[in-house]
Amino acid sequence: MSTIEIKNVSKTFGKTVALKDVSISLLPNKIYGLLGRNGAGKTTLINIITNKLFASTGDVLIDGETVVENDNALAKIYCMTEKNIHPEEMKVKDGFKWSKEFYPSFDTDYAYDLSEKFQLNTNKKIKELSTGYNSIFKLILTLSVGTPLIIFDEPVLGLDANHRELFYKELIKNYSEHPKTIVISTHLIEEISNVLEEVIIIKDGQTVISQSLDNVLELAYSVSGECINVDNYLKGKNVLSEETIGKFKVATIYQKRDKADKDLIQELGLEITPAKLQELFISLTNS
Amino acid sequence: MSHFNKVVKFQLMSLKKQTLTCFSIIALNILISFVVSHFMLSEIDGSNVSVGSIDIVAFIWIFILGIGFFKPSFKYMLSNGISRKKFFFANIHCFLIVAAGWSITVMLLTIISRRYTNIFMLYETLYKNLNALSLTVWMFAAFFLLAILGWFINIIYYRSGNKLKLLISFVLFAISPLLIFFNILSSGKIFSAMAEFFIVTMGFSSSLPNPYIGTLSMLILASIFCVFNFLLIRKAQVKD
Repeated sequence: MSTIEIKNVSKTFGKTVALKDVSISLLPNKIYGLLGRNGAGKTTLINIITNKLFASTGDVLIDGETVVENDNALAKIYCMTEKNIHPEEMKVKDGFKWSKEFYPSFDTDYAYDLSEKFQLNTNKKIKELSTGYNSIFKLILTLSVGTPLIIFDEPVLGLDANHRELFYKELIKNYSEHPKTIVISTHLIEEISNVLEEVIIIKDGQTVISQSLDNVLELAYSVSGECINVDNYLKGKNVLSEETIGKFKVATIYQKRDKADKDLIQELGLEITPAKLQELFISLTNS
Repeated sequence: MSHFNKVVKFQLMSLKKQTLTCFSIIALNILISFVVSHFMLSEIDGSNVSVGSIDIVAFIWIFILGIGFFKPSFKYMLSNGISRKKFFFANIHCFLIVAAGWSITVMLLTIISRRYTNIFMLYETLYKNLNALSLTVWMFAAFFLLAILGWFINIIYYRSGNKLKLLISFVLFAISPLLIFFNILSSGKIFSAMAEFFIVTMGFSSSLPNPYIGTLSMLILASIFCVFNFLLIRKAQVKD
């Protein structure tokens, strides 16, 4: 069981601010969704967590130890990146072999078992794999690595619907058999929302939301009805988005509903629907 | 096996194909030298003519090895939880093994090939001997220095932004004409000072050239570049 603490992390590249004072705690054995639009800072944050980049300020701790140049802390984490990190001439089976060398807990049998399920040819060179199979190879490595913390950065890139379904099933199976902290960064929010327990949304390098998915979805809801009635209801509320079609209006709100709110909704004849994670994400990250 | 040794093993294994290629080129050099000196030129003047080289091929190969050694493995190692410090020391370890292995190989190839052909050896031209011990030790230092220099060039390019890369490339191309220009301005003093420095540090100042002085100088220079490399790697970040 390992905990990651991200403490006041900021990162700048020249004049570009990629992360601004990000503080998040990742608790053991939970599945996190790290969500954000392109360029929001997700990959930068992942690279700082895995010691590939240095934070400009702040620190990342794994079980109280800094990850910066710390072999002990780094041995507890593995990250599947969108980019290929393997030498061009390396074969899939050699990729498994070397992962076993660097991570003694790497389960080679499980890796070959998954390769069969995904129909991955382990004798092929990694550079010869299609985009989808390249993702599959990296998914298999990450699922088999056996570290208490694993991170997937765009895990389903190029995967067809069948392989994506298989991945989600294997992920849940793997997690239930060997609980661990899993962070998934993806743009396919609706697909992954059934798997997530916690959600972190980053916008322009800052954390917008970091809490349990249940809490997030409990707080988020949409009201719809006649414009005048919706506007009356929205007074003093944390409104994320509004859309008007003729006399009709739909608004997404992110705030706890008390009894007075429920009464008012009834009184104004408004319709209420729970917001989906993707809708909430779009509302929160639309600038 | 510790992670350190695994990094060394990985790096050494990645050289398998390149080593075989270099070895094949040297073998071809020896064969060509043998054929030319025994069946072609010997018929003309009867002398034992020297064609090809063993050590120069190995020098070029080791330098290229150093140049291509950093970028691909750096990203891979960081992704496998290896710290920069461990990566640096494992690479030094790897270069030492490669330099030692190749210095012994070159020495053995020289001894064997000299029985059949008079293949050119830079070392022999410089130090006027082919003593097995001094040849091996000098080769070791030369190989290590060349690998570290190649590595340094690769790391400095990796760390540089586009403007700095251009500047370095310009300096590398401009250094020779600039040196010639300033040498003319100083009435040849620059080149004579450089030559004097080279003669002293490489062990050519006495009547009998001393390869051990050259060995020591090359090892000192390699150590200085090792420090530069460490400072550059210490803060290197992954570039996508």
